[in-house]
Amino acid sequence: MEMQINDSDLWEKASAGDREAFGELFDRHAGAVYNFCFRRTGDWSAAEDLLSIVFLEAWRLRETALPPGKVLPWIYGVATNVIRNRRRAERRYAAALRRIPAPREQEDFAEGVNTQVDSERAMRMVLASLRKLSKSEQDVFVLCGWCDLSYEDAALALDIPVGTVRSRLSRARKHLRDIGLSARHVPSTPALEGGCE
Amino acid sequence: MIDDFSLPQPRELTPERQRRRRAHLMREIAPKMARSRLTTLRIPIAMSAGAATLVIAAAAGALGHSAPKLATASLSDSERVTLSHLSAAGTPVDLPTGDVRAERLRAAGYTNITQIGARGDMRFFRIDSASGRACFGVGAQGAEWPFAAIVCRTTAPYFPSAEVPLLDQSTVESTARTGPLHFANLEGIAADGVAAVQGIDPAGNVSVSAPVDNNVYYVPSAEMPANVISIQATDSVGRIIASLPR
Repeated sequence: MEMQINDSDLWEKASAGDREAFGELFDRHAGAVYNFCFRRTGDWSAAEDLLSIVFLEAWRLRETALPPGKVLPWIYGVATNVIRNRRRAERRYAAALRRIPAPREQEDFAEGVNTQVDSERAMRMVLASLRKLSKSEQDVFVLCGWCDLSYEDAALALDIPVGTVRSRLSRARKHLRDIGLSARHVPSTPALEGGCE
Repeated sequence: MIDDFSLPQPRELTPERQRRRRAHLMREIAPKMARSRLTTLRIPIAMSAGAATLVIAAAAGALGHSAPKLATASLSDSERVTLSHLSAAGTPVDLPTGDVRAERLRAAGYTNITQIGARGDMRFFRIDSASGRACFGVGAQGAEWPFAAIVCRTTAPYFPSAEVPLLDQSTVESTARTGPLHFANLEGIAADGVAAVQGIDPAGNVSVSAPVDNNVYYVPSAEMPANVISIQATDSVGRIIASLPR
């Protein structure tokens, strides 16, 4: 039986310059990072480019030592920083993004433009509500509330103490209650389960 | 009420899109060819002391080259005078109007541009200043802005002179593909009295020779042997006037 190598071992190999190991991490987590980026931008197309940027940035930072089992939370942290500094990140990787070949197939059209537009509209409505929080509260809320990260993983992702995660999340919940956000502000699609993956 | 937040369902990248993104990622993180910084620069080389010579001195070190000496001691006075001139008349060139680089050149006092000659796909220029000191440029044929590189010697000995009979603007390169540091082409401006510029291989043999015509010499990359590690300027009877690296 083939044993699947864990993320931490792949990261260790990638840190030593093993591109294939890094490619395997991409295969495993591209979907999660793609959806995370969508939930921070409300734009599937931008999320796809941000996915590339996040992994290019992760490769740039590949010598970062990570605790066991924390690769994905750390990548969420990289994604959070990339999105927060999106313009700077896009400038840094502009040349790389220009080298992405155009898709040969028009799968989006086959898949249904309406579905995409609807989900983007819905996400933007949610994000409009979320922007009433401070940026640091948004970061914690998205990671813990939408991506099911533990307080410890969110702390690692954001490079802040666990206690700060707890207090920011608590403030975020309170602020959202204070401003009276409720289901009427967001579409009535079922609540997401399973985090960002 | 936080729990009321409902989100659009996650979706997956299509296999084709994910494959394309992965392939792109792999290409972007692949080790780049080990190109020397020198390959991206046009290296001005002058056969004399000064900053330009320091550049090639570093190259000489990388080449492990045993530097020959300048042979000017054997030159007669008349030959030294000859080597102090450029007789190519050339044709005046107007710089593009409205170009900030042209404005900067004019502001620095460099107002008269002369195309000394053209060889292959390259053009060679003299840029005269009000002070009487000239700079020299080289650039591709047909380019809107004529200069790919401009060389100005601001300290003595100046070009052209017996001490500096050559203003070499060849490209020196070292890549994973091409191996050790070597001349990728030969191009530059030579003083009157220089008849040829020769490329020398590691064994000391002449590997390629570029005749000097109207003060310009040129061997394009496509015609350049890959083993030239030094160059030398010769006069009409084949005497070596100077060599580089020194």
